[in-house]
Amino acid sequence: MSLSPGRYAWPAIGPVQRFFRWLESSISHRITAAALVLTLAVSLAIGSVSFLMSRGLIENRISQELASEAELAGRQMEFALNTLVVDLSGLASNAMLGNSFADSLGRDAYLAPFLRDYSAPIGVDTTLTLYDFLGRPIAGTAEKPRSYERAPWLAQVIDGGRAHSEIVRGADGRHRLVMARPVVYPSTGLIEGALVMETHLDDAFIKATSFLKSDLGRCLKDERGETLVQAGPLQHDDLVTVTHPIEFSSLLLPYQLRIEISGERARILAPLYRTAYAYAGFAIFILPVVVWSSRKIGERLTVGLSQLSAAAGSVSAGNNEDIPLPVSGRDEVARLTAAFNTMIGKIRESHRELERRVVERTVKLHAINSALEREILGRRRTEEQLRVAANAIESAAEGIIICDLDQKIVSVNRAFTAITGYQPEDVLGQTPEILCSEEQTPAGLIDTARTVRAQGHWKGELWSRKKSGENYLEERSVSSIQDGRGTITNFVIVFSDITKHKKDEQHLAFLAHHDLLTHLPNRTFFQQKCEEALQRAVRHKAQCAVMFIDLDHFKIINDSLGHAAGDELLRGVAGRLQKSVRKTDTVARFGGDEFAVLLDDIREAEDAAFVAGKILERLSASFLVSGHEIYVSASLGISCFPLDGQDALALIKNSDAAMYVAKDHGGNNYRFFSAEMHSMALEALMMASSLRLAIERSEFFLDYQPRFDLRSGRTTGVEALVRWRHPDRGTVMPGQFIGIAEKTGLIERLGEWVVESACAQMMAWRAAGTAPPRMAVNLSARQFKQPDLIERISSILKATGLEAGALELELTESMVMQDPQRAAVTLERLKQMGVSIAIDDFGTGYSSLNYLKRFPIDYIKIDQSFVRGVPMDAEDAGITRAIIAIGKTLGLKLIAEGIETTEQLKFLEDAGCDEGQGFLISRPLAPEKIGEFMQCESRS
Amino acid sequence: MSTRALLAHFVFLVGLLPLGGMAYASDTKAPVYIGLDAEFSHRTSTSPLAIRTGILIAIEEINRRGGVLGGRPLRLVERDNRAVPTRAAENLKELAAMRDLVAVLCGKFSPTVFESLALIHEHKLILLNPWAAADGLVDNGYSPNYVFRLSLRDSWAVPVMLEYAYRRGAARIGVVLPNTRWGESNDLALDKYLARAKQFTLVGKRWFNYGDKTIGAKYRSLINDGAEMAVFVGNEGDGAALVRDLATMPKDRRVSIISHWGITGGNLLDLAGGALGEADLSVVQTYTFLGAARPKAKQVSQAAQRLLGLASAREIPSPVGVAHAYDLIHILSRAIDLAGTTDRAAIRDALERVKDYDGLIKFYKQPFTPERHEALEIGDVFIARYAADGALEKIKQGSK
Repeated sequence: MSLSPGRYAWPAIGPVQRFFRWLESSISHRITAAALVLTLAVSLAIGSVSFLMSRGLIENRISQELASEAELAGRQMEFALNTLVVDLSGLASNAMLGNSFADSLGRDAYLAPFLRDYSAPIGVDTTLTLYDFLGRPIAGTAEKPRSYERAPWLAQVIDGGRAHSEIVRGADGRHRLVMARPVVYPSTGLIEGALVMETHLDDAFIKATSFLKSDLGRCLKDERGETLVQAGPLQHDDLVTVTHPIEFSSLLLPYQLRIEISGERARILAPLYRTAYAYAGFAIFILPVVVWSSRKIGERLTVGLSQLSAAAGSVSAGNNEDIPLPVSGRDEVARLTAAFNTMIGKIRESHRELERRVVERTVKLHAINSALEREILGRRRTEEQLRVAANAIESAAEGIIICDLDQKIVSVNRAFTAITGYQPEDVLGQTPEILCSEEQTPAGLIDTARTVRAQGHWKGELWSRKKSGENYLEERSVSSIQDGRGTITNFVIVFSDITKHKKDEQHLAFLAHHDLLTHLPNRTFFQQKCEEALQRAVRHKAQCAVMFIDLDHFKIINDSLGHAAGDELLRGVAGRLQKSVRKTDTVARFGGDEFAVLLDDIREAEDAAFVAGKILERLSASFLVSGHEIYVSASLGISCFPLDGQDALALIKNSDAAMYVAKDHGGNNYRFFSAEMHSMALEALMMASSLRLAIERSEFFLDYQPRFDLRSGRTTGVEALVRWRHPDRGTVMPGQFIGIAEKTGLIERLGEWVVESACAQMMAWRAAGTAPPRMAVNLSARQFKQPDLIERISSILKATGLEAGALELELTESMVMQDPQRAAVTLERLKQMGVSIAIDDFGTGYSSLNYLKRFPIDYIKIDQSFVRGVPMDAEDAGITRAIIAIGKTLGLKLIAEGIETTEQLKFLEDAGCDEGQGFLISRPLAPEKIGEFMQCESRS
Repeated sequence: MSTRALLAHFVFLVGLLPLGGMAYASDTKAPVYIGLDAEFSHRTSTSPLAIRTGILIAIEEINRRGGVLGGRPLRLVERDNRAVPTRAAENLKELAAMRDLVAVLCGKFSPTVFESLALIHEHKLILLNPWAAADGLVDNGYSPNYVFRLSLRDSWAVPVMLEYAYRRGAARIGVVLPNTRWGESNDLALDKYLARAKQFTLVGKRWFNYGDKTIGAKYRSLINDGAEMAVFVGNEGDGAALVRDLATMPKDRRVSIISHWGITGGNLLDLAGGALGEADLSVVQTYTFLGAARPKAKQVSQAAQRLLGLASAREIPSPVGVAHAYDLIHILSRAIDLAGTTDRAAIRDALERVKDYDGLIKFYKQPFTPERHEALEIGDVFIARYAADGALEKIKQGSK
């Protein structure tokens, strides 16, 4: 190529070409280039690997942090809103609100300050407004309260007595949570208005997330994903976002909200980028140094070589005047130069000859060699292929059939025989139809054949028959085989027996959806079926009902007869439930002794009542379980769609609540869900919270019921009975709060307080000289299970100074029977301390006498349900006599509860009962009255 | 809506229903309506029942004599205001719109009338007040004034109560008042009276809200501050709470209670039970059937017993309600005939001109005049006490 301008304009050489030329031109250049490339590659590799790893780590770490922040924000939000709801219910039920309907003067004087005094959790801004029966605001904290005159939802709150909550988007685009509770006018007991609490979700949300760093975006979305509140920087596209769901108790707020927290990726990664830039800067700084130093090294290495190469260059250009080259020194370059000189001479001589010969021979050799190699390779390959193919076919796990064009079988493999039972000789020459089961139609086969001819392939599942006649499910693929010209020569059928696989699959699916014990659908499956039924019901404008069924006292049966018997009983119950409903209905077991029934497509709620009655009746017949005849009953709760809930979850929850009401009414009955149950649940919730406060505010006090020796009439002791002085409801009896205290665990603190106060009271009476001989205190089930019960009791005794002999602990039968072994140990230790033990409400449970005999018991209390009936009711009289006889046989003393008439007293005395308590003798009294009482007795 | 409230919304066909289904010639002519808006669904208030009884007896008598306006029968229309002022306002609006409705009687709750005063005058609705005692209901500043009262007023109740206390030897007085317009009205009357009557020392005023749980504590705090007698202004529910609380106190720590008559608008014996016997409780009244000597007393008492299915005059609930309503209806019927029309403005004017009505409570020379819309006077007010059967007996003059 010429660089001089000529007739043609040669393209100027590009920088790349120039660079390559430059590279080729010198080893020293190449060394320089290599060093440069190597340096670049290494730094790039290290840099990018560490960059990527750090970025991954940082992102991971940040999203974890964001997730925990989101969870925390979610909790705050949950706390804030749940508290608002509970507070609202509390405020709405305050008598002051109801009474304020009476008069506007009073209302303005006391109600406005009362409402203004309310401070919401975490400082959320709320407005409280009281509306009259027409939805007009009459008092509240807002400067300009909204009027809800003729708002249908408020009318529903006031006329229907239902609580209401909704999220409303205001004209300003802000979302408010609007909650309303009916307010009852105490004078008439009628609902006269509603208390409405409104709060801006953005305010609540911003306060709930105020702890977050300001550069984090935050967002509150509803269940449809619509944004309710958005705050913080969110403009950027590239965000790291985490989501956390907030679930409210559906009793309180029917919402599921989500919190999203996001950070700008660039901002999060900024420190990393700074490091990376520093690194890159360093690399750029170091490169010229590398280039310069490698260049220097290269040049020094190649001084001699450059000379040689210059000479060689001139030789090749036909320029020999510089040769021989001067030789200086003794190093490799010097020797090379000498040899170069000699070589150049010889080369020139032999060059032409050699070149000719070499070319000739090389060509020949190449031809022969490659022919030979091709031959050998070809043969080897074919052999190998055939061998592999035959092996593959023969040892394949799938059955393989090869047919000719007429579909006659020409070959089968071992797996074929293993699967079908046919030997090759049985089938060769036959068509694959020999495997057909009756379930295959000839038409189906023809379709298959047609597909294979047309598309070259067919795949599917079909039922085939083995030689033994057994049917099996086959996964079959049929392909055509073509020769090189594309003509079909054969068909090959590959198949496997998937019967077992299919069964396993089906079994697994069954397991996932059914209860193993009863084979009934489980909760998940039931819910799914419910949802389907609801969709059908919506389409056909029909109703359906969900029943929640819980066996009464199942635990006692389980505890006394063992789990195997319990399981057997549950299977029996499952069977009877299924027989009580239609085929189209669904019976499910939720676990334990909880069952549910879905009544699909009913005409009216009465139908559900009919089925409930039928179920109760069927269950009332005895069950024979491990040789025992057992009677059970159940409590049923019913909720109907669409009245009592809009989805399966709500219906199940509400039927559950209704079931609890049925159970509270003594079991063996059914209840429909009603809106009051909703408020009852709310009530229980509030009761639990005021119970917690009650302990802190010491609102509990004890009354004491004297107990007498039936013969001498002397006081033998008192039983401590706890009462609650509720600020709004007056004195609340234990029946109304012990259950809740037990459920919430508050009973442990309360129980301990009772024991302590009772013991202290004994000491106070003693100081006054008016103490009864013995103090009986009821222990709760939870207290009895406390591992350190003994230590607690003995430390109370020590602290108060009461001797153990004066303390009697009352336990119920069921508490002891829950874990008889453990109970025996606990009772024994109490006994050693000197505390006496009484068994309360004896005869109402399922105690085994055998156990009773082994427990160190001192007293048996005869339950007042038996005492009430004596002497008129023959059954009660019989049971009472029997209990007394048992007690006497075991050497125990007997105490009768609830003696109200002289006839009862006489009967008990005659029957041999030792002691008694009841209204006839004395009602529970305040401590000072007991003092007076004892004084009277000692005087008389 | 409760059954009671439904019943209360029912229009009673007076001539036919309560008194044995006797038919009168006047039944065929278009009736003239009288409304009653009272707290029928209130759980403990007996005053609506008493007022209704008085109205029905009077209407029956009038219809038997041939009705008003030349043979038109009177009929009663009832509305339940549940003791809620906003409901009362809605009811009054509805009643005012009724053709041939001439007047409305109210129940015992002053606030339910107070908050409708503007509405009453706007609709020219005659409000006959047989019970509610707040002064401001009649002294309302409207002219012409559509509110007429045949009842007690607070500015009479206060002096009568305090003078009785003084006769009993109590000069140090404590007062318990409800936090309502009625309480406010009594407070004003009290301040006005005490400014004149220097023999009294006011040890304190305690305000309570309806249903207040601390009412007993308020009473005790007055005693602690040295009160020798407690004046109570309130209704039966709060009164019963006070009496029950009093019964738990040691006898030597209690002081007597003199009560405004709100507590007689309900059955205090039912509410307070045995505790009522424990309290030294006196109450302001304007009428009792027991020992009443006027000729009409026996006739009305018997009609009331028949209507309510009672065995004795002692059982008639809230007798003042029966008596006031009875006299008011008779005065109204005279005014209707005087006006000669059902036009309410004309009847209002006529009410101020009715003369010489020989009523159940007394002979009214001229019950109402343009200057005076109170048919009773302070001299009609007396002190009564609960007998063991819950009946109210007038105390003898000079007795303690």
